[in-house]
Amino acid sequence: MPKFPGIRGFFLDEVPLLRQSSRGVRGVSIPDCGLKKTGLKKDEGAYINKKFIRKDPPNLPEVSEPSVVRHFTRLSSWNMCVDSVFYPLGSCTMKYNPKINEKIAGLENIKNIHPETPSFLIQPLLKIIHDFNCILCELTGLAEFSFAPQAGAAGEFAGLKIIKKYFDMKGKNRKKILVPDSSHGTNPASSVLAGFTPVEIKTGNAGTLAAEALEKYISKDVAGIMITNPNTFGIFEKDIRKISDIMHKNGSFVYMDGANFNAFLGNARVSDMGIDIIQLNLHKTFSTPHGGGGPGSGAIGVVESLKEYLPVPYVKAVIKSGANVKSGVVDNGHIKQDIKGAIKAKGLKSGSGLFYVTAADKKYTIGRMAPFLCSFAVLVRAYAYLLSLGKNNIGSVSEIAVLNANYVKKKLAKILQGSDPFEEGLCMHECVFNDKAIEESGVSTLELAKLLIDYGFHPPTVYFPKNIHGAIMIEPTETESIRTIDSFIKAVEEIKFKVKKSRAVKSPQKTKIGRVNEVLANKKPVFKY
Amino acid sequence: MNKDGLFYFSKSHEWIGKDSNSNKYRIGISDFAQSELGDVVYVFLPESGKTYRKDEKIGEIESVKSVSEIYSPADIKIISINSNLNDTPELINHDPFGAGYIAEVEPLNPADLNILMDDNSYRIFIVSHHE
Repeated sequence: MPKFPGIRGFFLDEVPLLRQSSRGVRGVSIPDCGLKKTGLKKDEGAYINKKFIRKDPPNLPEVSEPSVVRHFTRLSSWNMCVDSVFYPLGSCTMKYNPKINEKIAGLENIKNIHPETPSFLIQPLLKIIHDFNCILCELTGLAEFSFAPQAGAAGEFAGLKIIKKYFDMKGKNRKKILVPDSSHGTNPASSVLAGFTPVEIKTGNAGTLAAEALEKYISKDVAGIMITNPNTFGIFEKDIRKISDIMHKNGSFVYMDGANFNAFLGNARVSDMGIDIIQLNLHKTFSTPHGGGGPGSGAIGVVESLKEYLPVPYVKAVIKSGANVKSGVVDNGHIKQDIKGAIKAKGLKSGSGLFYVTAADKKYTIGRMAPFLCSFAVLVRAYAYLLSLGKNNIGSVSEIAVLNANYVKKKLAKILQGSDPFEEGLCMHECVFNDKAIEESGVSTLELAKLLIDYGFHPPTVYFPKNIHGAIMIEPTETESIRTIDSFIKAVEEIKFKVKKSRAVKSPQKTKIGRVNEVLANKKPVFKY
Repeated sequence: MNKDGLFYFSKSHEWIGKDSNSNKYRIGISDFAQSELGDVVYVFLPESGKTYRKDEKIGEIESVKSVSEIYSPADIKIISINSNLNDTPELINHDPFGAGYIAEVEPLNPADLNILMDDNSYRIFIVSHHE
């Protein structure tokens, strides 16, 4: 095995399928049905309003099956992904997504379910949503989750809307949301979108928010705080309990950005930290695909007192007592269901048991955020992930994630001397370095990132957090072996001590597309081929 | 940097100074600030005619690295903005004290500029804060 995964590059060029089109080519040839007579009228106008009938056939690529397969296989080979490379992108938790998740989510009776299917036909699927909710409640100590938000920032938005609605209902107009500079970059934006004014709190050199520093920001105008824990430097906010107490004393809420939940999953409950609302990024901590592989899910969890504010619809378990279930339950907001009839239809025995329904009966709900309940396949993957780990092993996810990050931190601190801004302590699931040491070797943070690609590693997060000069943020996650991590560290060492500037400025050289002109890409982006 | 010391600097790396040709005050970001930001790709400019308090956010600069806020170096009224930055934001990189200025302004209280740093103190400030 080579020392580094990146050795040579071999890429096959590929043009859009439309350009490969040849008239009359088909992937699959369907034989003529041989029937002469049909009950259909020849004129499509008999079925479709004339104004909707197109004059020309749609411009679809006419290509053979191998062309299509090669097209997508080639495109995928240009990509650096977690299935092909180590992906230590700090703050993103790019853990490997176990294939068993895909297998379960791909089961016919899961992937082919129409979202309007009546509840009584999909009881096991509703049970998955319900039970997964219960597991998240157990892991966080919170009272209930909603799966309506389809991404992390959408979860933040939902959480803040809940806070907003709470104060609206109380007839109070609290305008401010406190946002420490150690919290995630989306937090201030989410608060503005939800109708608040974010107030930045500077955390200073320690990298954490001290409870004393918070005091001077407290006023009756403060609706809540958005805190990321561990914060965006990968450091645990040790004052979290005190911070929560200060906020609660002021009648304000504590929103926690759960993007870094992977740091203590199964080892600490956010309810014990005094958190009122959290969003859990299933695409991070719970190993469902990220970004382009998405959609994501920013499941939002709340304490008991905020349950009635959650988005609708949601899955509710009702107790089925004999044949006496009579409450009419709203399904997807508009289909009335007769549970009694449903039980009969399913041939269920009368007696105790749970029946799962979709409901919209939340008293103060902030409303609907998604067309249906959730991105179900994402939930199934996360559920499969948790069940395949088992309750007793969930805690070791965060233990190994923290161990791996500290291994990187300590090893790299020796190579990048004087570059660890928090050298004294331990980090949580990710570690951050400044560019002091590599600058001494004449390599910038950007060049380090680009060079790592040639070594066969996805770059870490760079130039974030903003208050670390030339930041390099590394999150190895628990899914990486020591062998992979050592190889990555060795690559950084080579870049620091061996790489010449002439190579650094030209990197990456082994990829299909080399150094991109970022200014041009930002100023004149080309969105179509 | 400007040799005749007509430029005053804020701790958040904006400058305010009198343009020798027009004899009007202008604001912009320092050479140090532009080099830290890297290639600028977009500038969100302040509003013409509006007044801003010192340290109030007046705009944003987006570079290939990140988005940063521009703060007012003093209590000012915006006379006109440098609309060239809309199409050629890179002027900030090439000539931060000249063609890459942000706006022409009127200081509400010219005497207040004295509390800002001059060239020399700003240089010392950079060294001591960003070695």
